[in-house]
Amino acid sequence: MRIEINNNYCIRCGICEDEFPCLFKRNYDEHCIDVLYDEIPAEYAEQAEQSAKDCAVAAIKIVK
Amino acid sequence: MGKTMTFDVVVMGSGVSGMGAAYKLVQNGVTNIAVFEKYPAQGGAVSNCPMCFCSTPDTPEAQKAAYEVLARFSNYGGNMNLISKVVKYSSEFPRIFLEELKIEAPFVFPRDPADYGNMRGYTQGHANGLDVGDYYFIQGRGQGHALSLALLRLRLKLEKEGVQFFFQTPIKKIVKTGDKVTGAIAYDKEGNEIELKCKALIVASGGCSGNLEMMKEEGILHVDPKFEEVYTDGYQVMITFPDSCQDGDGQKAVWSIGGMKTPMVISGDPEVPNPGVRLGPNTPWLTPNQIKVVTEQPWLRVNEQGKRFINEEMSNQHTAMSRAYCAQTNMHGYMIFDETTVKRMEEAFEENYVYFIFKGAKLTGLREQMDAAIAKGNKHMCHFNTIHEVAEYMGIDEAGLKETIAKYNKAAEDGYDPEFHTSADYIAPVKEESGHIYCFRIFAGSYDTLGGLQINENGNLLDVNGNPIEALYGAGDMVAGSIYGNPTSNAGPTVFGSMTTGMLAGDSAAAYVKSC
Repeated sequence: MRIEINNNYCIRCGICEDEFPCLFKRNYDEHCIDVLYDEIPAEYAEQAEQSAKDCAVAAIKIVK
Repeated sequence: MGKTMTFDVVVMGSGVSGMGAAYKLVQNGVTNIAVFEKYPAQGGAVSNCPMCFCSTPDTPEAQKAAYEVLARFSNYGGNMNLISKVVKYSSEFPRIFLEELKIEAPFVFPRDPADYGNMRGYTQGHANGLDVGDYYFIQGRGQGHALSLALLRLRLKLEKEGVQFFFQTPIKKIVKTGDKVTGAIAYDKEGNEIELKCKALIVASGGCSGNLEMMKEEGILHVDPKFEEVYTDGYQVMITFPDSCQDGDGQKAVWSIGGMKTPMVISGDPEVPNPGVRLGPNTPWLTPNQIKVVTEQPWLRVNEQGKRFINEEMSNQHTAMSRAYCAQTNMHGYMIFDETTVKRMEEAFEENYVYFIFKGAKLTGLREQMDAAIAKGNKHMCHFNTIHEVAEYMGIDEAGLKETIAKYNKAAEDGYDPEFHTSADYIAPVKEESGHIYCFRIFAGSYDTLGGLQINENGNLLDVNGNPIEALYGAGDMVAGSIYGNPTSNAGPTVFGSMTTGMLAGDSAAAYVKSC
C-alpha cells in the first residue's frame, strides 16, 4: 500500500499531519506534505485509508 | 531578458481575494487572464479558510445596518462608499459558494439586522465582517475546511474557463509606462525573469507574515529581539501556514512605483508559541488541545508589568485580544490561573467553558500537556506552587502581579470589578492556597499582516497623493485599512473583506479593459 498526494489539489492545510502524524509531515522548506513511508506498514493501513477520507480536498489517494 | 507573456489582466496572488478577482473577471467576459502565485499551491488563507461565512442579505434594511456597523467600526476612517460596495458583494456569497460551487450549508443562521455588530464574544466591538449578516456554516470534505474546498473548486472551474494559473512564479515588480501600469516582472521556479504585459494588474498578494525583517522594518513587530523568534516558522504563531510565502512583494512593488503607504499591523489570533509542535489552531475540532482551549477562557490576563489590560470576557474575541496584546510591552501578555480553576474545568466544563466555535472535550491532563511541551524546550508556559516562582520564570514584575491579583481576587469577592468591568461570573481568582499556579505567555498570532496599501471605492490602488493609479487594482489583506480604517484594528478582513475586495477589483478591471 502506498499513499499518493495530488499536489495540484493539496492546499497544504496539514489536517493529515494533525490527524496522522505517524504518516504525514509538513515540509516547510519544500512547501509540501511528506509521506513518511514509501510502502505503508500494515499497522498503519487503517489510518492511511482514513486520511484519504478525511482530506479536505481529496488530494490523498491510496494505491494498493 | 527572458520570455514575454501578454494577458488582458494579470492577478498577483491566488488567495481568497485573488480568486474573487479572477471569478469576476471571467463573469465579465474577460478571456485572457493569468494568476501568478509564489506558493506552489493556492496561497493566502486558502489552506485555513473557515467553515463559515457571513453574508449580508441584499435588502435595504440589512445593507444599511451592515454599512453603519462597519462605518462606525472604522471610526469613519474607512472609505464609506467602498464599505457599501463590500457589503453588497457579500450578498452574492450564497449563490457563489452554495449554488455554483456546490458547497452544502447544513446550518444557516439568519440575523436580525438590528442585531448586527452586537454579538457578544467573538465579534463584539470588532465587527470585522463576521457580525454584519447571516451566518452560513458550511460542510467541507472529510475533516477539512469548507471554504478551502470551495476555493479549490473555484480554481478548477476557472481553469476550465480558460484562466491560467502559474504557481511558484512570483511577481516582484510592476511596470508603469507614463501614468499607467502596463505590466509586471515575474520569476519562474529557476529564477528566470518573465516580462508580463497586461492591460490591468490586480495586486492581491496578502501581507508579509513570512518576512520577519519587513515586519520589523514596517513597525509591525516591536519586541525585544529575544521574542522575535516566535514569529518565525517553527513556532506556529503564524497559524495559517508558516511557509505562506507572503513576503510583502505586492506592497513593495506598489510602493516602488509611487503607491500610497498605509500603516501595517498584525492580524489576530492569540497563540501560545510552541516550537515545532502544532497546537491545533488549524483544526481545533480535530485535536481539542487543552492549551488552545484554556487560552480561550476569560481568566486573568496581565502584561509584563503584572497589570491587567482588558476585560477578559473578550477572551474568545480573537481580534480584540490580539489588539490588546499588541498594545502591551513586547506585544504579548500572560494568562494566569490556579488549581481551583483547573479542577472546576475538569469537573463541569459545560457550564464554564467558553470555547472557540466548538465545545471542547472535557479538560484533562493540562499539566501533563504543558510538561510535555516544556520538556521539548517551550519557554512560554509554566506551572509552579507560588506566584513568586511564576513571576520570576516568566519575567513578570512580581510586585505588580501580586497587587493585581489582590485586586482581582477582591473583585471576585465583591462581585464587582471596578477597573475592567468583567462580570463576576467570569473572574477566576488566583490563589496559592489552591495548590498550584499556571501561566501562559500569549502573543498575537496571525493569519497574516494587514494594510500597507490603499484602494478607492473602485478598487483602484492609490498613489502617495491619493489619486488612483491607472490600470492598477488591489484587494485583500493589504487593503484592509481601506475598509476598516487605518491603522486597521487587527481585524482580519475574513472572506467578507478579502473576497469582496477581490470581486470589486475584478469588476473594475474588467470594465477598464473593455474601455481600452
